[in-house]
Amino acid sequence: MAKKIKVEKDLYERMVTAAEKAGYTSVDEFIVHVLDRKAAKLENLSTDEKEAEQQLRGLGYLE
Amino acid sequence: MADAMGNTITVVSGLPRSGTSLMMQMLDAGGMDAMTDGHRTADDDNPRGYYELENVKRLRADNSWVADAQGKVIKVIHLLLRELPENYEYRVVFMRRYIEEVLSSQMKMLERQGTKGADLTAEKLGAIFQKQLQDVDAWLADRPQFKVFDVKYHELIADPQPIAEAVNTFLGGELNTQAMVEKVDPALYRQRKSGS
Repeated sequence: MAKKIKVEKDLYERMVTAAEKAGYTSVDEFIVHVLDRKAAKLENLSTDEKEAEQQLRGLGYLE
Repeated sequence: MADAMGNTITVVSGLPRSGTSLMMQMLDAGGMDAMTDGHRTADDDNPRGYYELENVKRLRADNSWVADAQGKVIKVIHLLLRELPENYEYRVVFMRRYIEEVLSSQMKMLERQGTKGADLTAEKLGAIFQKQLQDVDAWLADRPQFKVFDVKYHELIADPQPIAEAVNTFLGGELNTQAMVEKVDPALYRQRKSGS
């Protein structure tokens, strides 16, 4: 079952533009693809990679 | 300078402590408009300043501000290059430094700041950073809107003139290379691997 999320109007309009530029058939398709790709990337970070990110965070280069 | 590079965004990148601040200083002195906020001020680790922008740290969440960097130079660490919007033209000056020196300098900085780094051996952390660099290189190679020029830190320190000239050519040929060269101070090359 699909869930709804809220985004700011400005962000939504940027996503509409980006989806059109990238050739997606709808902004929904674009958002689902981007979120899926991002989540997969974060899920696949190994413990060591997370530690390396901690190094960058500690140095002040990541939030 | 903005005219020479038009809407192109110049990016200085690399691992933290690979000479990115030095290159930013050089480009600033050479006549480029450096996009910084002065939030992080000069200290023992970077006596001449960091030339950073807080927004860069938040690139993963918001890259809308990057439009304002057209015609300017920004510093973006290697891992965040992929977060830059792909609908602009970029010239990336990529700083390369021996990984042993990078890690040694990072450890000194963490100690001075009193902040927590990775809970990994230097060997393992170095291997992860090297892999990240390989991945970023491959990502950049697939994107024609990103033109990349590599600068080896130890070569820059040893003989800055030809590198300043090469960087100037890469960036359109309108920089003051003498002013760039004057920013290179070998005394600031403190973490050297043995033999370099």
